[in-house]
Amino acid sequence: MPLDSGGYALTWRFRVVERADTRQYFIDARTGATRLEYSDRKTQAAVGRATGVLGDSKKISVRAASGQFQTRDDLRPPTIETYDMKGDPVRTNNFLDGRVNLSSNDLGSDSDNDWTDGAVGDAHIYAGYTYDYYFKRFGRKGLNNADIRMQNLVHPVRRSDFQIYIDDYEDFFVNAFYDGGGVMVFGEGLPPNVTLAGQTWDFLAGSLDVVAHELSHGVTEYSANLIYRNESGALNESFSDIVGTSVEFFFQPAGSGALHADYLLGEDVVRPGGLRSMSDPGVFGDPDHYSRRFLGSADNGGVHTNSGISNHAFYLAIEGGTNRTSGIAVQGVGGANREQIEKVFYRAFTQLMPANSTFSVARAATIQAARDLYGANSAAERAVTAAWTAVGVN
Amino acid sequence: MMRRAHILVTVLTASVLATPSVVLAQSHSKPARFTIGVSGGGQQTAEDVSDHFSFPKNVETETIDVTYPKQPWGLIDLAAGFRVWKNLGVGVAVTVASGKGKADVTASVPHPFFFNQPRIISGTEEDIAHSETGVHLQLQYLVPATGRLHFVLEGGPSWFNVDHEVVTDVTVTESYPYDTAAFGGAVTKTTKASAAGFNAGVDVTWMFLESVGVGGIVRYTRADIDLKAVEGRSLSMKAGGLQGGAGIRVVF
Repeated sequence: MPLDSGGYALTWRFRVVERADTRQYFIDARTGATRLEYSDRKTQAAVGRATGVLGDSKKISVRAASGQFQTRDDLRPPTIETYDMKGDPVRTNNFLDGRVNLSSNDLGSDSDNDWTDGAVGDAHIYAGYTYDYYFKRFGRKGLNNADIRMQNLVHPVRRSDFQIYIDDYEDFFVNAFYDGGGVMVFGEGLPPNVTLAGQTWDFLAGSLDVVAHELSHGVTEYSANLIYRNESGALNESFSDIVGTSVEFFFQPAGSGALHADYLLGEDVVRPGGLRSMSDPGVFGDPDHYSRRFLGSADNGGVHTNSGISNHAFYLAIEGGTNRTSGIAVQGVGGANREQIEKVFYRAFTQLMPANSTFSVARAATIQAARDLYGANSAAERAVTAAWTAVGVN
Repeated sequence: MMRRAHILVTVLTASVLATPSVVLAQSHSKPARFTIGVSGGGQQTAEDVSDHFSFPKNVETETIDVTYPKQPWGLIDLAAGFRVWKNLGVGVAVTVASGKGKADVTASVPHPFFFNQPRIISGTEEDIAHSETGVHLQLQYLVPATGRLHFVLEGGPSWFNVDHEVVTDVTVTESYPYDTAAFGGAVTKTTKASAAGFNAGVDVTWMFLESVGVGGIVRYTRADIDLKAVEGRSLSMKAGGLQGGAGIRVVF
């Protein structure tokens, strides 16, 4: 083979078909060293149009291969793949348990690059948006800051199989979760005629804050790795809520209603109202003050409940206001300066906090982060300090 | 190309001056029957050429605006005339104008991830080749000679063959997160087109020998050309322009 440096080398040539790629290898016939290797897959990045769960139109970064388009993003630094599990919960479970591998045949696919499967499109697009947010806001490269592969799974069940699978696979209907190692699963929602606690459930992937929330569990996994129970677990959940909301404000106009940024979680797909509120956690029965924290053992010690305390602290540090329980008023930095508080919480949660952090540790870490980033007695530090005090964390 | 023209004129001058016995034998009681001339000079393009085109890109429309500024080209002119009757004659001139210019390019390139967030890039592509060959048929009026000075007024139809390098796309230098982009160069394609036009001008010669002189031409030529760089789209430009040159004339 000709060498880039000039001259030639005697080599053996191999074509190796791997699970995720097909590669050409040129092995030096004398030394056995690999002289050259490259991907032999004839693929190309492509940009298409996707209609989301809510009927909105967005661009989607995909791969063109063999006359088809597949949900593999080749334009962003990490590999972002969205797999269509085609309503097969057993196979989904087997993949999550490591019993089967997924291949390019399992990726979402479309023949004309005009995507109409909202769950596939939104999961793929919103995962990219979340990566973009972390990169642009914090300079972070994906979940592990080293561009680990991100894999989204959608359609783990079919809504039409609700009666069959709801008991065994409830999470595949009314939940979205991070399964570790960069794998996210987005629930199918419920049939239109079925409600849960008076709410309808659309495809979970259709909500930007939900997708960003799940991916942020990956960021936590590779940084503070907050233990998922009790206060550290609530902080784990809270960080995901904080980023989920921040990503909304980064990409969507502020306001109420679908596709608008607000302090509700999951409101675009769990209607009406969503799942949690950062501005008023009590609306969903969650505590807005440390004195009201859940002390039971359910939900790993109330990780999805007590997250309301730090969620509300984050909200107050930005928007300001008065805590309903303590009556303490907070001067926030204002929505125009939300970036400051986002950076403070990001720094604290990814660099300063240990795995067994308590709310009190989170208070100290965020105040320290505010000083580090904006100086002692800065508006950010004052806002963060007052916010924690208002929610009863000292 | 100018350098080549000068070399050609020099060679022809030398060859003509090397055969004075032939031309000195001619009589000039009336205008010469035949005239042959070769000139070198330049041609000023008629005007700036602007191009605007668009095509689908990243599910939106990429637009590209290109300006080819007007500029002088090197010119070689070969001409021959034949006096038909009294002071009227016919002639033919072949001109080759060529050179390299530039193209100023501005493009609006859609973002790969987001609608309505185009990146504006601009740059200049150098060495845009242009060449046009004109064949000019002429009716000539040979103004009665005054001493050694000869004037010929001429004009008629022209035929142009144009080769022009047309910008068909831009190379975009971009990387994640793609919020900005830079001009990485232009993709060009050489296109050819032909069209009919006209020419009108004057040729002035000062005879320093009986059959040999030095002369100059000033001629205006013009043709409207449609260059088809890409299927379904053409670039309109004007071939020709104001031509000027000087060289050797031989009459017999």
